[in-house]
Amino acid sequence: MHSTPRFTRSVGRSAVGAAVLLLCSAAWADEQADRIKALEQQLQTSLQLIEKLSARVSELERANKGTAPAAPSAVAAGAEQARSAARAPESADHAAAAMHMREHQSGTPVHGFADVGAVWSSGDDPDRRNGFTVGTLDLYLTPQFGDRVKALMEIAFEFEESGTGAADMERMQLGYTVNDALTVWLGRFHTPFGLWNTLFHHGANLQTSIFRPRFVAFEDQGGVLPVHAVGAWATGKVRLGEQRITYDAYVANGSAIRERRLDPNSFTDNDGNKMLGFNLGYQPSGRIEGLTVGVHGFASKVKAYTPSGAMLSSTRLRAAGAYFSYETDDWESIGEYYRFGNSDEATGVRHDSSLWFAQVGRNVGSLTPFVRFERASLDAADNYFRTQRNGRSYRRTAIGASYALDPMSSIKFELSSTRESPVLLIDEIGALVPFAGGSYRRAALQYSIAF
Amino acid sequence: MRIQGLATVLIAAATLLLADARADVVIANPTVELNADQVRDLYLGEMQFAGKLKLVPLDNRERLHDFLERVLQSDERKYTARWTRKTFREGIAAPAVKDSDAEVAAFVRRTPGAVGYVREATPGVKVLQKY
Repeated sequence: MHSTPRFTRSVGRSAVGAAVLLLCSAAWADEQADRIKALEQQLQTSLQLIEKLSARVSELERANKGTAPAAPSAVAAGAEQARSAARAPESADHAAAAMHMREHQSGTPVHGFADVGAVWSSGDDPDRRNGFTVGTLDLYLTPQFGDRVKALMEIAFEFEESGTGAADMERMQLGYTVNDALTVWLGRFHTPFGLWNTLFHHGANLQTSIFRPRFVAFEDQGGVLPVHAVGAWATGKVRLGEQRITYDAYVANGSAIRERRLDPNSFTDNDGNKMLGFNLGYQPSGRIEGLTVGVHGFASKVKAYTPSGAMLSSTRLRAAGAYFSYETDDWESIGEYYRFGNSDEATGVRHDSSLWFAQVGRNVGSLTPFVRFERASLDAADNYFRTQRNGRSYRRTAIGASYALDPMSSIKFELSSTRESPVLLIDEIGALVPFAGGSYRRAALQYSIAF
Repeated sequence: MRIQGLATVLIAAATLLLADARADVVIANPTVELNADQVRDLYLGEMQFAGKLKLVPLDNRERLHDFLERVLQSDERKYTARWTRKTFREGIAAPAVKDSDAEVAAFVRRTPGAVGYVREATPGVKVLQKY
């Protein structure tokens, strides 16, 4: 049997292939050896640092023996931090630093958000601001009491329009988780309609824009929806194959309107009427993973009062709508729609109104430019809206961008243009107040952090 | 021709062996039974219980980057942001972070419901997934 030239070429090619493989393996082995050597050097440096710190701790302990009990623990904590720092690779980025913080949490960690910035608006802005602002310092705790009992407590500190500081108990909810399909919360919570209200709320650093859509603003900042509720809330998620269904069902004290603001009646209900609501969401998988669509609704009876306690109006509130969000590596979008069919209790007349917003952002590395459209078309004779300070029809377009400095902080800017319709509103004492309408622009900068 | 084919198969096998040698594993306390989708749900905060058992996910700082890339198709930035949202909205805690394989394995071995990821499994833990 003789070798053919073709066979010889095949053997030759295979030999070359094997040689390449061997060379690659050798190169890989060299690379590993270099890496191990570098790690050994790093370890040696770390050990030397630990020894120096240990010696320093002993020296300080000797010096402060019996006089300053807090000092050794502080130094020990410093040494622990130094050891951790020595362990961290030199190339560790900000995200790794955030993880590092999580590593050393013990007890009940305090989480929070804070933001500062500046706002300028044109003369027609009813909430005109020109200059630097301090936003909200929001602190929240999530103590875990075992496998199933949990709590969420949140306090927000901020300055009111009058310039006085205020602290609000945002959330105080105690929960019991039966399983993934059912958690029951009791207390004060963010009303789970749409997505924005529960996803972002006071978490300025969580949202891409600086301002919330106006009609989803907080009750004390001109929002016309009951964004807080005090009551019971059942929530959960169920996996159906590759898809997921989420739900919320809640019963809470019905809101009242006092001083032209919605009041969630946190202390106690002013009457026996409760707010009932639901939220049903669907999250598919596969090619459209990241999409959430859902429907929501709530109903209540809302009475407006004068400062002396006289009732101005009573409205049967009925709202239903839909929402979506879609998040991918490149895009983020969110939108909500609300349709109101409110009835005046005194006359029985029905008033239809609608509100919606849609926001789209494009992720370009750490930068996310966005655009948002908002519309509120409110029936001018609906007492639920016209007894509220901001119960006015408007349209707003906002553009801006958020630049993430790291996962826990960002810098944002936002420009918006708003046009409001003229309307007759009702003030605190029941007098009709004409609002002339108009248009205005607003520019804002914000620096926000999460911790 | 036959030898050329054999060489190709050997090269492919060598590549597979090298790839397998690089594979990390998701480990769990022997009380835990999860498939790959459920492991993903657990680390995305979409799953907290396996039946009546409360799950306790752990992150391993040494292997976090590869785990996020290969199992969650994510990165540290998105993962941190996701858990910040989860904690704020649902009041659930992000996975605790351990420093090394040894710490993860020791915690998983002694804690019912614990799940972690390491370079290779050690006695006393169950392997749920290779990635």
